[in-house]
Amino acid sequence: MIIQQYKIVFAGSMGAGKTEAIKSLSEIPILETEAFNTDVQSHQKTQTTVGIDYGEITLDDGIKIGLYGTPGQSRFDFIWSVICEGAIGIILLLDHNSPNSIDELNDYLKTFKNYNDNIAIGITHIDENKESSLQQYRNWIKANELTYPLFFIDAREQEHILMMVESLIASLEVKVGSVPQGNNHA
Amino acid sequence: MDRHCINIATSGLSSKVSDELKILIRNFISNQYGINWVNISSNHIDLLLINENFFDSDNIQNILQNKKFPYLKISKTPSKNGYQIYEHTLYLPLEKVEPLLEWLQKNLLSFLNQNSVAIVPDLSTELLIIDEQFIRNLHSPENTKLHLFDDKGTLAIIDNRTQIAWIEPSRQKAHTNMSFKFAFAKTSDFTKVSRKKSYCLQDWLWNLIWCSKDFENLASVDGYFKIDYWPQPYQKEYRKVSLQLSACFIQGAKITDVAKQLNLSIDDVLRFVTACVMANNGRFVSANKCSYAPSSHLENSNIDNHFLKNFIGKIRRRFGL
Amino acid sequence: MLSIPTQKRTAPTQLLQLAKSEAHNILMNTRGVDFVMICSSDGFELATVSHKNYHNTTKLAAVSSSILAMVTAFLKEIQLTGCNNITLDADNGKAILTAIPAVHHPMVMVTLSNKEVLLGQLLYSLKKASQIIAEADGE
Repeated sequence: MIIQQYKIVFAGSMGAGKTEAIKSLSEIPILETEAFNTDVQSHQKTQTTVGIDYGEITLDDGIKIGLYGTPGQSRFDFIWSVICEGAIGIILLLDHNSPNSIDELNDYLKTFKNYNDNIAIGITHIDENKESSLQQYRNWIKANELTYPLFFIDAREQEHILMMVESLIASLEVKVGSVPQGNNHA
Repeated sequence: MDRHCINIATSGLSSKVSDELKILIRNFISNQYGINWVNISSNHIDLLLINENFFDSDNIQNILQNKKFPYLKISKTPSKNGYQIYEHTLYLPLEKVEPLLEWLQKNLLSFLNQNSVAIVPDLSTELLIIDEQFIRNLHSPENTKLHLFDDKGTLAIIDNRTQIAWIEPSRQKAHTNMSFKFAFAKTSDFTKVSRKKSYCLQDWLWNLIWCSKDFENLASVDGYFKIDYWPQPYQKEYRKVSLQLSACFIQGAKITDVAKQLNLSIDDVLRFVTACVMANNGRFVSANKCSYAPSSHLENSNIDNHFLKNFIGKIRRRFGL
Repeated sequence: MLSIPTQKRTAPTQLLQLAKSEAHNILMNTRGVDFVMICSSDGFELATVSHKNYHNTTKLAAVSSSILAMVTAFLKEIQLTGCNNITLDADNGKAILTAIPAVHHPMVMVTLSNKEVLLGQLLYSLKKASQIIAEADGE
């Protein structure tokens, strides 16, 4: 597998926290492409991403990894395929508070796995909806025999987003048979 | 099998104060005794922690008259003389823990050591084996609310219907051992756990068993195992190894292959599998149900893979992963 | 900070009618212009006037808002101010995206024309129309 550009893509439903996730990781103030949200039926927030949000991290030899945030609504799907090409992986965020979160998960996975198969799924806003069970997502993963990691996170917490990034890396490592250093005991 | 447990009752305390005190006391006593957190109406109390404003009520005074046990009044206003503990009152906020610990040693522990400690018989007199039946019952949706405990006392109450766990607050970063048991939760058990925050049951159970080095392994070395989903690691310390193991076992993998490929001890891999088994995540499978294939030396020396490995190493270093 | 009540997020009919009428003026009075669309800045089509049929106006609205948002972010990086439109010059025609900086209901105007259009005149008309609509929203 060849990585064409050093990037990690953040995709998923509107209001799930993609822009926040990039902010929590990025070394630079992020380039935001937000516009005034008129689609209040989908989400109440005042601003929504309509272009590509951009953040950055630098590795120790100066190589930069771009963190690309995409708009969630399907009318911007022309952006998704372009942005995902050659990415290290995709972090797919879904809002547990959405009434159709399982359908959204299904739809986004169906679309994005065509662009890149290294996907990690994060379910956000879990504290805002205590009525719906969290186990429904794991049951859905199991019923569909999928292998993607799925975690319950807060997109503003850097450690949670790092866990998502680390799961993308773990998938890659296992795929290429990388033998990590310092793994003598856990 | 009996266990030595002390019963500590709390009354009139906010959950924040109650949780803070429970954690402190648990850390101080846990090597010597198990703790049951009970309420004021319990038959046997070894120590009472009570809001100072409730102390003078008739009900409390009656109880104290009839049953002699040490008590500590909890006050929210700092004391006039600057002491953290004075006579039978603890003044919050807790700036130093030593006065409290000294008080406990003097008024509770030395008293207990001299007299026989209340022995709380276990719910079953036979040795409960942790086997398939045990695990099936633990996760059965018909067994809605279960009280999980071990020789140190309560661990949690779990609800199999909603798949959540409420934890005993002083055992948040818990580990357990083969004394791990469960029973139907009684109303009085609910006072032992904090209902402020609920945990995803499977994840909490997985983390509990993963952290329990004294828990016997339930896997055989020459087995093949496949998990249904990646367990979510709670601590950064073991996140890396947990995710790597998950990446292998989500495909179905041979236990020894995984240990070799990831350069891990077989014990760690077996512990991962055991934790998954206890969390009802996955099952032992036959070889043909597994798609994990350790890469060969030839693949490892491929240029693209070499580049990728270097690159991954750099990402790990950058984030401290 | 005062936030706009949610029911007022979509532009009121009166404002849209004004915007449509301005778009119509440009279509009728500038030779070479084939199509003018008004969209919300988050990519919803609000009004369209045209001589030709463009089949996927919904998509066009989304793409236009995206481009404008990314260009706006780019301009911020290079610290250029007061730039409100982008002109795309192709072999077979031109496209102009104009930001309408209305205070309560920011919008985008998408204009498509043939190659021969008098660009200066068109840009001037678009600027005026944008000002009129923005001022009407401020009232």
